[in-house]
Amino acid sequence: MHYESEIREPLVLGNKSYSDVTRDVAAPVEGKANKMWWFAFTLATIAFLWGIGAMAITIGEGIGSWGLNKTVGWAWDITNFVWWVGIGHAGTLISAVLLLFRQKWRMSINRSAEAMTIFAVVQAALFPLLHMGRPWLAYWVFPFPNNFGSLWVNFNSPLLWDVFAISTYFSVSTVFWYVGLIPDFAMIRDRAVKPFQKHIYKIMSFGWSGKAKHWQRFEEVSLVLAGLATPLVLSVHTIVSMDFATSVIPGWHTTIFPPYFVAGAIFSGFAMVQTLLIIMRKVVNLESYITIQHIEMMNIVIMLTGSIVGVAYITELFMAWYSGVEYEQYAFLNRATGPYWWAYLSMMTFNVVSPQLMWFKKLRTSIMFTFVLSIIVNVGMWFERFVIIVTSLHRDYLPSSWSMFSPTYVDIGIFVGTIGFFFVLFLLYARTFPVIAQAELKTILKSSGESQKKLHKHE
Amino acid sequence: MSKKLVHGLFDDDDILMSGVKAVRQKGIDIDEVYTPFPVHGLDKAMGLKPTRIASAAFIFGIIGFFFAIWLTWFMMIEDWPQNIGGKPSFTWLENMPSFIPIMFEMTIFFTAHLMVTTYFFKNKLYPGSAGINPDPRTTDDKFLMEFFVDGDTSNLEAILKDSGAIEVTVKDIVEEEKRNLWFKLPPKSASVVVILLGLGLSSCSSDEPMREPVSVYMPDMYHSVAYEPYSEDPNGINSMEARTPVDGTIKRGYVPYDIPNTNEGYQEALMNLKSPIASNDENAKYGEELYNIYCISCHGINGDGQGKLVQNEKFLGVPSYAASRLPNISEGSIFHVITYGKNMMGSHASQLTWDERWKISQHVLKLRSQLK
Ligand code: HEC
Repeated sequence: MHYESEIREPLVLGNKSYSDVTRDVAAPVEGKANKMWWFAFTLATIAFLWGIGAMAITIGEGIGSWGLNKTVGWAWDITNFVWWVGIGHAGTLISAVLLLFRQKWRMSINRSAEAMTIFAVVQAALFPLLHMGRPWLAYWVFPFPNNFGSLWVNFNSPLLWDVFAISTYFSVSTVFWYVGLIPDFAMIRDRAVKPFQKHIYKIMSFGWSGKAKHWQRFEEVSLVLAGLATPLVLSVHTIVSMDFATSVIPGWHTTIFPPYFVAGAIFSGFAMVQTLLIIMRKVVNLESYITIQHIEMMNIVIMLTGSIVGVAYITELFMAWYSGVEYEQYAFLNRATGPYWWAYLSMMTFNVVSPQLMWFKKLRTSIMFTFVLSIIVNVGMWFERFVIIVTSLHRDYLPSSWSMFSPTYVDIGIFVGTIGFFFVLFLLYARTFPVIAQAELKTILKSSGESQKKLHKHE
Repeated sequence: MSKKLVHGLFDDDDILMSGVKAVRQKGIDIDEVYTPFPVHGLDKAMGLKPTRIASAAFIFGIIGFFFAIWLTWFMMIEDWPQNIGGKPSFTWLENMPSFIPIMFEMTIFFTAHLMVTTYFFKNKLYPGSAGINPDPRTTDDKFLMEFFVDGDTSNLEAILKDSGAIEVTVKDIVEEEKRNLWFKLPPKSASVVVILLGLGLSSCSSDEPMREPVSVYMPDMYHSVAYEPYSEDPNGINSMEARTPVDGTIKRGYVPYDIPNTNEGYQEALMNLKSPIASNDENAKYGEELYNIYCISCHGINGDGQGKLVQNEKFLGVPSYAASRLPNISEGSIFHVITYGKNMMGSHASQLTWDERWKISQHVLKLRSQLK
């Protein structure tokens, strides 16, 4: 057993023993939902139902029910798609990249962050599906044999790369998440008293027993999956950015897009993790596990990625000027001073200025401030995508076809609906799944738990 | 002699580790250890071999990588090559940069999923698997060593107690314990699965092949309420939805071609139309490059009519440029055919500019003389 330096803050507060961890993690699953939960759940369900209505209108009436026009043929749907996919990135980053870097603080938050990833990708996938107009033919995007009268899919198209990237990302993240969940489901199964509960968790835990050989394989599999998920998560947003970067629209056609999108994705994803976990640690009493230190660490990541995003914005401006291309220059001038100046200004303040406040230790360790900022960041990141997409499109080469975009109630309905759907999934998850990777957490209890640290000091 | 099952329960991982070492030192093999979390170094202390799952993952990754190569090659190059955006990508290597994302994603996809499947398979983990831990406390905070012993157990019991076990239990094994039964679905649910499968499969069979979709969802999506762009419109000029531009309108950079698309026109081009561009190496070279993008999939690289689509029988009736049915094609007639197309060959006027078409014609004539 190795012990950690005393200077490091403990990652688990309170004098927790192994069985305390078990009890604390199982408590939300075994207990009854409180009022807060029901309130949030009702709200989310209402939003979700609204979204279903809006989706039904989209499918029934067609894409004409959206605010798109001939000039702006891509707007909220792709904005929301990119926004949700980006949010998803933090989960994989926390569980995979931080595992490779052996960052122990990931352990209390990785389960929920991964859940967030999966639920966010589900929301993201809805948008291209709906924009197809005939979602029941969605399987045409896969390389099926040429029996349907059309040719093979086109592997030169970034949109097809996206299909492969998103489906690989979704399925691999789900598997990664589930492999980690199995031992924790087994823990709940072994504690369950009600036969129905026991039965369900027995199925979900796949008959896990915790044999030494299984743990050995478990650790190897986790490590390899982390090693795979790390380049995967980077590739996904890279490919998403290529949907734009490989086109020839001024404002999209830049090589800076892949790294800039990936940084932005991590930025918004961590902000969403903050939003969710600050609420969750309170509602299900996990304050000893998700500590101020965790929040601070994540704030530092937000600050760093926010700065990268800021540098990217400025680089873009510089390159537009330096390129000498008139159209490129106009695209950026129009972004900043055109009719959508307010979107550009919100993007700049929310994403570039506001995370700089995290330099103050007082602010980055304040829960209230973090919570507010995390929401601001996500609003800002939504605007970023909106700015990139709509302001690049709405004034094209032909001034006679210049136009503006305004969303209809259907556009808004679908967006709000996905937020509702996301929270419905997350709230259900918080009540039925072990929200902390307790088996993993137990391995660091001795080295990083508060009680053990104290004990060691007096030795 | 009866076999006995000995369980030693520990409540701390460090004590467990020293216990494992103590037992092993006495030359006793441990049959199993159940722990609530991965205890580092336990596998080594127990003498377990290192797992080879990572090597398996590497092999799966290679399979995925080559699968992606095969997939992209077969669909884009071999089975139905297409001219996409006029790019020279009729060999896999030329087109490869576009396939990198696919190769990368497929490698990850195969590695991850096949590895996890292997992991489930080797650990016998599946929904409803019966092989669970003998003591429910071992997923909470207890650690359990398990031994199957023939004969006397008192020695082992003593070692376990000495090394800090909080509980030692000995049980007779009356019958071989069957924990890792493979498929143990209860008969009821099994029959439900069989019936559902049967119903599902039976829905696939039908006496008559289906020609029409059974039902059309949301017909509005197929049949627009508005006039389609090129449809009939009683209110429009000539009862057409599309409006014609002013007479004599030509688009920028477009060179009009006056010879009509008729048999007479063809004859006219064949006899009298002469190339206005110089016949030199540079033009011929450029024509060759374009030919290898726009014409190769039907006519083949040397113009023998054996392009990939012909070889794969996707497209038939492509003549060799030296075929007897084309006794005397000229630069003019070739230009005419590229412009208007002929029978099964479509027009290329929208894809190739006026001078590009002339340059290709030069190359076709060259191929024709080489074939002869
Ligand atoms: C989709 C397949 C296809 C492609 C692509 C194609 N061709 Fe053809 N081509 C044909 C077929 C089929 C014919 C035979 C037409 C007939 O006479 O019925 C033909 C005939 C011809 C002929 C002889 C016409 C005559 O005088 O009777 C010429 C010359 C020719 N093609 C040139 C070209 C050139 C140059 C290109 C590239 C720009 C090209 N083709 C692309 C299918 C194709």
